Amino acid sequence: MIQIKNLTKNYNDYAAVKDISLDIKKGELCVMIGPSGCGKSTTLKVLNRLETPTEGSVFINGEDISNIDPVILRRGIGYVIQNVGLFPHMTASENIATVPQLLKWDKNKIGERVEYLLNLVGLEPFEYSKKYPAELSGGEAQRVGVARALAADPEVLLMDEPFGALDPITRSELQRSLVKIQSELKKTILFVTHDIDEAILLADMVVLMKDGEIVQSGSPTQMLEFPVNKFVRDFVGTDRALKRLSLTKVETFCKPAPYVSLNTDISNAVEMIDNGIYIWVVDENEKPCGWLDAYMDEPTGFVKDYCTIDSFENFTVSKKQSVKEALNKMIKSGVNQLVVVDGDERLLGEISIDDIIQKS
Amino acid sequence: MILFKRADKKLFLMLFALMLFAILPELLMPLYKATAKIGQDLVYSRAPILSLLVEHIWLTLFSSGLSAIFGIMLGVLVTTKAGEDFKQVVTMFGSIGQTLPPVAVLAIAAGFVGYGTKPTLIALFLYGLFPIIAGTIAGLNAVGRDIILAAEGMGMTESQIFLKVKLPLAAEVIIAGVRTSVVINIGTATIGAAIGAGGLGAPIMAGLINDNFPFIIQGGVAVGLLAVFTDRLISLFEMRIRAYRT
Ligand SMILES: Nc1ncnc2c1ncn2[C@@H]1O[C@H](COP(=O)(O)OP(=O)(O)O)[C@@H](O)[C@H]1O
Ligand SMILES: [Mg+2]
Repeated sequence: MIQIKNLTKNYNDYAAVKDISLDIKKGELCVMIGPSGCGKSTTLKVLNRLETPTEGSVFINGEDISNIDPVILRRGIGYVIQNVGLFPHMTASENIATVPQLLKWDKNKIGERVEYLLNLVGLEPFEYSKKYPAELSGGEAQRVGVARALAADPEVLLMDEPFGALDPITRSELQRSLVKIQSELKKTILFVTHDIDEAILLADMVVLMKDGEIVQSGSPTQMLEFPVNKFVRDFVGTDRALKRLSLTKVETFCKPAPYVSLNTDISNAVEMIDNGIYIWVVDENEKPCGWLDAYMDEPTGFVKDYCTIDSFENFTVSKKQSVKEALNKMIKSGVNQLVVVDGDERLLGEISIDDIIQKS
Repeated sequence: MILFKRADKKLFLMLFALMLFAILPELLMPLYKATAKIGQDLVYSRAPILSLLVEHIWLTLFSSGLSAIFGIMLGVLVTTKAGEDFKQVVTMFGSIGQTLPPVAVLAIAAGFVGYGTKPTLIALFLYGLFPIIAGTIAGLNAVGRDIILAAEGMGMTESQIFLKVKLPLAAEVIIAGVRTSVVINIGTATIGAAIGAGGLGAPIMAGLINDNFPFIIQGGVAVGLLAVFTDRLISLFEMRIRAYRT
């Protein structure tokens, strides 16, 4: 979809970008990361012809962009910048409608599109469409910025540190929104950041740059597992192993676990614990509700008379959550294992801290 | 005009006072009596204040209109890429014109085109140019770099960026420059009377020459009222423009 071939950009004698080549597939979110001044913004600006390459060329959809009128090219590419750059004299709706208006869309079509986009980025149209940028919080403003970039349904989106100026909580909200939007729309996105956690969270492919050159590119897992040199190792940080766990799903480490129901006869349950020290307990819907410890004095009756009942959130994780989240819960609850549940909150198995440490 | 939808009390009060005084300068008779020397005329009688006021308005309207047109054009020109090189020259000439005493500008202009309304208009035009150029440049330069980057990145053409983004955002500051210029011109226009341009300067000049204080008061009060009224009028306009940005 986007091919950058031997791109070099000099400012006077200073080479901001040195001979970089990059291929971004359709529907892929590529995160370009690197220290400040390494040429990320410059590369992005070459793609929508805000800068002219000194050498090399860029192809979008197989077409050399130097053959496309810059104005036409830009209307077909969404562009989001760090400081948002909303027009202060226009409402949220008018801001979003900018490109469709430049493209002379029909009024009704623009209205529908704006409403759809406000919903898409999580802003209630009734409340927000008439607001001016000065009345929006930083997070809301950037949501409008994203909607504005998506307005004419471009195939390609360029995002230059779009969440860089937001506080951590708002930033992670917008990151999650972007993940959701991207899973729906499957745009081809080149996303610039200098935040490694953001890169790992969002990227299909990460491109790490330094001094105008690409140092390493590949999937987030590849970068974390096989950093090519000290610069990459340092950049991804000493907590590489932990970061990798944030990319791994709980189901990877899930193993089957025995369980009994609340109404099981206690003697059967004791038999099932065998030489273990506990067994999980589920309710009539197979939803985990607690556990049963092995040490009991001559028990009679049912499991429900002896087991420990705990609230669901305290001792379960969903198979789709990250191992990092599971570890976090274990540490918080002071336990060595958690129940793994599927989407319907039914018991699937368990995950234990020992397995995580031994197998990762 | 939308401007007057929400009646502005102060504005109407100022207008009322101005018109009343122009028609009936005798209203301040006690003041004239108290300041006049024995045997002096108390009310300027060579022309009614009202017709002098109309003359004065024409003088400033015409000169400030020209200043606004040329000032905004020059200001816009020197903020484009093509005109950047002229920025220094234009602002330099503008500020030199501003530091010359108006009487000197008037005398030079009279030297070229003779006495009367013409040299006065030229002097006022030149004099009113600088605040407008300065306001236009300031207003356009104040439009954020990121806003323009976004506009450019979205595929607006140069002229679309200017008309849809820069100009509306700079309008308030540009109009503020125009207001300063007009108000200064209303005051400065009084000296036109010295070379026969008429206007509210006439009673003031006559008063100065004949040592007649009431005449000076009559011209001065009328000019003052006209200035505050105009200032208010244009301020309201500025506020209306700003309302779009909340
Ligand atoms: N218009 C310009 N003129 C001169 N130098 C520039 C210009 N734009 C960027 N640079 C320089 O190019 C280098 C790369 O800049 P940039 O791409 O903005 O870095 P990044 O976005 O990675 O922080 C920096 O050293 C910067 O100073
Ligand atoms: Mg940058």
